[in-house]
Amino acid sequence: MQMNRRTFIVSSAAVTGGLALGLRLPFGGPSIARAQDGSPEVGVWVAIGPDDSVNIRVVRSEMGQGTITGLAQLVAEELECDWSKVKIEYPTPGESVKRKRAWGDFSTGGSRGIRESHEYVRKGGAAARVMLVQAAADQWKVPASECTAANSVITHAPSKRRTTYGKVAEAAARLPVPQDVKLKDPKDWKLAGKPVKRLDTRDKVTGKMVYGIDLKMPGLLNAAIKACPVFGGTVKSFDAGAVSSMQGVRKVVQVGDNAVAVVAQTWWQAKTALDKLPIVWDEGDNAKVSSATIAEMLKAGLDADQAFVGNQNGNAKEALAGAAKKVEAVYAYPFQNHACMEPMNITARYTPQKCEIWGPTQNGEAAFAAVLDASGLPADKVDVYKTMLGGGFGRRGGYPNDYVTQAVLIAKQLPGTPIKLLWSREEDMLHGRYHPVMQCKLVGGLDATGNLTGLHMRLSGQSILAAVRPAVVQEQKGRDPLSFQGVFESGEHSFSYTVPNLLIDHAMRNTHVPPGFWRGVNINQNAIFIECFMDELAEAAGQDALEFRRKLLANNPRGLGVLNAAAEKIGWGTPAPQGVYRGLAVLKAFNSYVAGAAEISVSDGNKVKVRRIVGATDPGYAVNPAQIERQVAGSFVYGLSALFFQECTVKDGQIEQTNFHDYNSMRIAQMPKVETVLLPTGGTVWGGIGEPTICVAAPAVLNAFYRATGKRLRSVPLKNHGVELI
Amino acid sequence: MIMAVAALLKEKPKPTDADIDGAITNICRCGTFQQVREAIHAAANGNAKV
Repeated sequence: MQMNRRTFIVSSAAVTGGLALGLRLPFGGPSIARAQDGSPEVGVWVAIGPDDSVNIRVVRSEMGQGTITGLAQLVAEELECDWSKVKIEYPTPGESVKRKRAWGDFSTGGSRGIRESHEYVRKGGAAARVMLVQAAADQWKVPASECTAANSVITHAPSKRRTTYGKVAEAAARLPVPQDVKLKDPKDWKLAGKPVKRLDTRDKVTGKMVYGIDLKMPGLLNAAIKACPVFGGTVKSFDAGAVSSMQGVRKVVQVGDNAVAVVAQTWWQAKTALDKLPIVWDEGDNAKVSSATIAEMLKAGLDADQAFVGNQNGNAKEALAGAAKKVEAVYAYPFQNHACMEPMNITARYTPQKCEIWGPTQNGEAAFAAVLDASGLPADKVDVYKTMLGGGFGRRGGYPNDYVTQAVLIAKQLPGTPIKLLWSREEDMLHGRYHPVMQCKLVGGLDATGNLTGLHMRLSGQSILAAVRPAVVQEQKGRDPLSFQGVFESGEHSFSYTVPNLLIDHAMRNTHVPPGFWRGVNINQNAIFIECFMDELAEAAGQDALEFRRKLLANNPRGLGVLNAAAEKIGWGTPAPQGVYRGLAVLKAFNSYVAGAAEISVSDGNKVKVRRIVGATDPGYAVNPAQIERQVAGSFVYGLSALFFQECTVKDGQIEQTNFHDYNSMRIAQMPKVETVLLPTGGTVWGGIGEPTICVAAPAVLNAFYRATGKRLRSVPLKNHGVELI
Repeated sequence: MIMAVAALLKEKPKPTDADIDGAITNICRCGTFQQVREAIHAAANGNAKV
């Protein structure tokens, strides 16, 4: 059926994501790019309406982390506009291709959204301000240097004249975009750096916000899908005839080589038919794999001769051999699923003239590429309209776009009809891109006075990049550098401590379970491994856990800063209330220095109550302190849910956990207020917010648990140890 | 979760933290529990402002 953009806009009400820009409208002059509402662009980042409305362009995705508001604050700060008139526009990937990637990278992950965009978006805001001021100055025939701009008002003090951005925007749009603009010192920020309200909250709270899962369009059909539950398996056969006359069913289709979908009037009809559809899978050899076989493989890696080195110093093996006291421990971390509240979904419409998709993605460009691939159409016949994400956490990033490909392949089989593909929770649990499984053997050596003289940290387990970015692994001669996040030799995830004889290496043991970027990526397990072991070492050395670490942090003042802040906030060194025990952790990740401190009590030997929890972060700069606090708090909920409840186990090649009944998540009653300490110490490098703090809650709680019970819990999730969270 | 909160406030116009703990058992993957708690109290006290 014929559907044009106008029909879609009318019928789907408040879809705020990804309306196409740069339409040539008949008024205003032939060479000006304009926003959807006709406002002229003043440089690519800003379009100003005659009513002084400010359209700020953002191409990163919003999944609740608040990045779009932060980016808008940064643009608005330099632009000197009236914040109350700011709206956000989302250039589509198709538009980006036409405009030669004018807005840069769409990918939203790696806690990059603000730290990797800030400079160019600020320059965009500044350039627009310069152009607007110049346009006013030209009109008044005065030097621009005599004009000032504030709150969307331009003033020429000597002649007491003023005008607004809206009045000069058409003229400003015709001026050349200045390439060299000076940015404000963050010390002078008036809007950025402030805890302003988010721009998307109202629509989300009132139910007006349309998520992918909410989409409705005229003529839309719904699709439910099952892919072979054993990764790598394929479809052998299916009996469409068995369900094709069920109520509402329109079509039963194979999707790629490994999945079958039912398309029906409603999703429930599609799902009901799909559940009754006889499918024969060719499961392949991976059907023999189980968590036990995987664990055995990883265990062997702990003592294997070959491993990739991520950090080394001196001669760890020699130092350990000669140590006065040795401490050794083995830790383990499981596969985990992102479990986004909104399951994977994409709505697609295909004709040989155009293929468009709508839905949640953390990377519009990667989704665009997947549509190009699956549709076979050229770039000017394809586009992606992003909706707000009901959680992303890394599942909806550039890899693997499996649900995008599926939606397009189904839509191709029903040309002209919009198809809304929605995964069930079970499908989402079975077809994740999992947090990598990992074991770790740590051996530490102490001298007679309790100094750490040597440390060997051997990781054994799955590499994410070997599956997702093999080119990187090849370029690193087989090593996956991301496996060492938080303990690496250098860079944004470097090891916190100075240890004289150090060896951190990784015996890569890949499985058929597809890995992905689960929030924090590799810091969740690495923080537990190193920070729990640090406590074990401190105890063996007869030293306080904080003092032991402080000595080793002598060359890491920012790490020391956050650790001291967290320790002070929890009251380390002062007596804890009766029955309350404390734990600490520190790490560097995504260029932020983070620390956590927890206070817990344990009843009946196994019922844990988290009474207080502190998160300290030094990200260099803080664009929205309120949002940072929420991200820190949210990361702790995500991380502690993983610690207490979450594992994906493998049986007969399949994931066993299918819903929240066997993959639990924290509730409001279990979560104390997260006390945040924000220490932006400045510098030349900006750190990320979305992920870093996620990793310090778990080791802080585990270290406290030891003090409470005398038991070291060295594997996750804690429910496997009979521990309950109350 | 919003529906659960609406139901709670209908039954208990000024819920305590313990009331909230007992009635609001929804999962939140983004972990905004503290803000939800504050919002419930704000709504109960007529201070709600979006």
